[in-house]
Amino acid sequence: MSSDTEPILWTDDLTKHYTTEGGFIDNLLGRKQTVQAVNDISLELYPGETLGVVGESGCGKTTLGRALLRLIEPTDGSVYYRQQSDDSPSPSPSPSPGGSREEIELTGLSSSRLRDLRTDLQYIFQDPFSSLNPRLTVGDIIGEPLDIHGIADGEDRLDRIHELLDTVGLNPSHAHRYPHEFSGGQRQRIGIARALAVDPEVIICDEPVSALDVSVQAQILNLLEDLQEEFDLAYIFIAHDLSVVEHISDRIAVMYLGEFAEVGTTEEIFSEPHHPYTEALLSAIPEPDPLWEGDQIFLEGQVPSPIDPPSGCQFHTRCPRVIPPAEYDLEQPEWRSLLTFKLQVREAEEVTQLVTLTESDKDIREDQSRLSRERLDGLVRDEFGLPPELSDHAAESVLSDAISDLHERGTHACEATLEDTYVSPCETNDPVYVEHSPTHDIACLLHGDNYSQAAPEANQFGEEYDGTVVQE
Amino acid sequence: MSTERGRIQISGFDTEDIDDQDPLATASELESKEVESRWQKIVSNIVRDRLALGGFVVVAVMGLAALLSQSISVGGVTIQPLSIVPYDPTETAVGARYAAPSLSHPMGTDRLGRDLFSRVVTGGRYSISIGLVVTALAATFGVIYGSISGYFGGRVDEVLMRILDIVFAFPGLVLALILVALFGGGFWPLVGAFALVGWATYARIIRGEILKVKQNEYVLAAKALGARDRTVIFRHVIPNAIAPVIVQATLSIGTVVIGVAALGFLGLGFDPGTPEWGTILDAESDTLATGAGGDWYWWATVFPGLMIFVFVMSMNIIGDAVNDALDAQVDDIGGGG
Repeated sequence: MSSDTEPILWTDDLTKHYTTEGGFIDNLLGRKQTVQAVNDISLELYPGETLGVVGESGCGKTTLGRALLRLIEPTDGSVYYRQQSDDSPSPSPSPSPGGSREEIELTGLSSSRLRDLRTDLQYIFQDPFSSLNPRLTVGDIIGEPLDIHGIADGEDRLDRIHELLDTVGLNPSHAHRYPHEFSGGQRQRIGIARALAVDPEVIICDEPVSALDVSVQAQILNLLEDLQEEFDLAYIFIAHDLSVVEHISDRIAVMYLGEFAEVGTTEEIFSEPHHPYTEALLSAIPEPDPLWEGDQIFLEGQVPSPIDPPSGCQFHTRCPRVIPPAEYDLEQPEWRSLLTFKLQVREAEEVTQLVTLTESDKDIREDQSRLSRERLDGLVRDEFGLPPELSDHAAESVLSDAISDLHERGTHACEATLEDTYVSPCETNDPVYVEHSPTHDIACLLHGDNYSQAAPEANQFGEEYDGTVVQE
Repeated sequence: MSTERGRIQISGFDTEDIDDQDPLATASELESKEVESRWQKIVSNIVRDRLALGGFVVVAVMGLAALLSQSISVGGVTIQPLSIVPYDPTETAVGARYAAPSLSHPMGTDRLGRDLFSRVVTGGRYSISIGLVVTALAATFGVIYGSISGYFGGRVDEVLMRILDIVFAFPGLVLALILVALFGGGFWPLVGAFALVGWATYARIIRGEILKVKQNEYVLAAKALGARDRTVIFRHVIPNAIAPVIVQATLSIGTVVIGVAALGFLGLGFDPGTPEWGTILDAESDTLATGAGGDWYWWATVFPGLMIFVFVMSMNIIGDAVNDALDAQVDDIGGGG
């Protein structure tokens, strides 16, 4: 549905960093940590479309949604909204280019102006249990926006509440009931009715169905779609479930650690080419076919902490297609394992944190000096899935040096050996958005000009899904 | 075996079946039980709890008797004409000096021949009204103070809570004593003295609750709708955080009554002749152990002391019942679903 009209809501390098609040002493000593929840996000939302935002837990989806409405103050960047001017004839946004709409920068708007704009921009919350005040009746909950903005009072107010309840598929006679008398799905409908009360243009839906049963999820999704059609709403739909997003979105943005990895229409996201992260997410969608043998890509390790996000491409610590350095001729899985080894050595303080010791290695656990060089070599290669000998000789000699260092002088010496020799371009270069089509952008070095040849085999197994870590 | 997705289509996720379902046919449709509001809950809990009901009856009788003990007139207009006590509580020599309890003087008379029954019943006016007024004032101020502190947080919270720490650092009764000594006794100075130290507890209680309540998404939802901070605090935050304050207020009425009596017993507070429970005790304190000339006029101190004891204990029992009623709050929030 994304037409070639002007966007209704867009951001320019929107950034939200949280500063961890330590105690008084910590503040005095300047011991502060910054959590980079959202980093330089630029997005565009067109009238009447749904933009899905997907990503793992903790990647900043909710922060983005709230920063968009200034429910939390963005650290940097701007949010713009194109407001319908008063002289426009009808409430439906006629796609006349320019003309009847006024461009407003939300960031830096005074609180009273912002309060007026709350009638255009609304929010639906994730948890239908905590998003409704248990001490107010449903009528009062839905009526609150009407009171705040002076939209209706007295008999009008009651009529409007009944109308809204009817719109979202609830019985208008339930207006005097309290939220705890309703089921989760019904409560979410109440939350939707509350957002609709001000007749908004844009609704940000923050995982509106993730707290609900699957059958109820479908009802709510269908309701949202119907409402979009009826009132010509634009949605930003935040979710962590790709199948939900596929169902409702016109365009999808894939988010990783506070940045968009890939943006495109739903068809573009679900078909080649992919960002490696999108590829992993797509492979994780459950398939009901018992005879299906598709390979699931398992991402290794944890999501890195947004306090100190990885350099270069943020995904390089887990990317199955991370680009090998040009000087070595390594298989993709080997390189992935080597890089993982390097990253883990960086974190580790002791050898025992790197390798898994079995029952028979009890004496080693007590006294690490009894670990032999050969045993350690075997353990490290087992742990990280490295072959007994790497396919590239230069790389192999560095690896065995590193293991010797690890054996003789500990993790820090090993780190020093590894640090400068195994460097992926992904660690040093920030990926820029590569445009595959006017609506499809991917932030990955593999898709840029410089490295697309560097890993031809990587592109190749994009087609066949082999060579990556595969479920057995 | 195939690696291709989508060979099996799941129906029911985006078909018309969903539309055909009656979205309202869910469990709670059938349950039409009326909601029990907070006050209904407290009342029903007190009625069910016999002990609490007893306490409530005692407090009600004492309060009513104190109210009706003598006529009340404000600015020359009589607003309460009844006067149920047999004698004027301040009139001396209505009976013999230290007359023992009898039919005409159910609680005996004191050293000046005043009727103790009349004095004790009327004395409830001072103690109970101070208890109520102090609690109302302290709770109101404390709730607003604590709400601002908890809701806005950050530096505001830091400053307000340090001020609170200072208030807490003063020993309450000693501070009240100093204030009464400085400004003299009487009703309003006493109210002021107790309210000045009493509000801090409420502020701290509600602040803690608000820190919890403001995490709820409905607070953010109200902000997203454009509600002002004032509306958010009074409409969404305080109603959901007030329960422990109600409990604390009920319990503290008794504490204030004891405090007033203690000041009275120390000779501060009201004028010596005032029929306030603590002041009566102070005036008759020499009869506590042995009376003059080997006689023990026990009634002079036992009855006022008993009134304090019975009133405070009844208030505490009611407070416990209120606590029980509001503790079950979890049943009513977040239940169902």
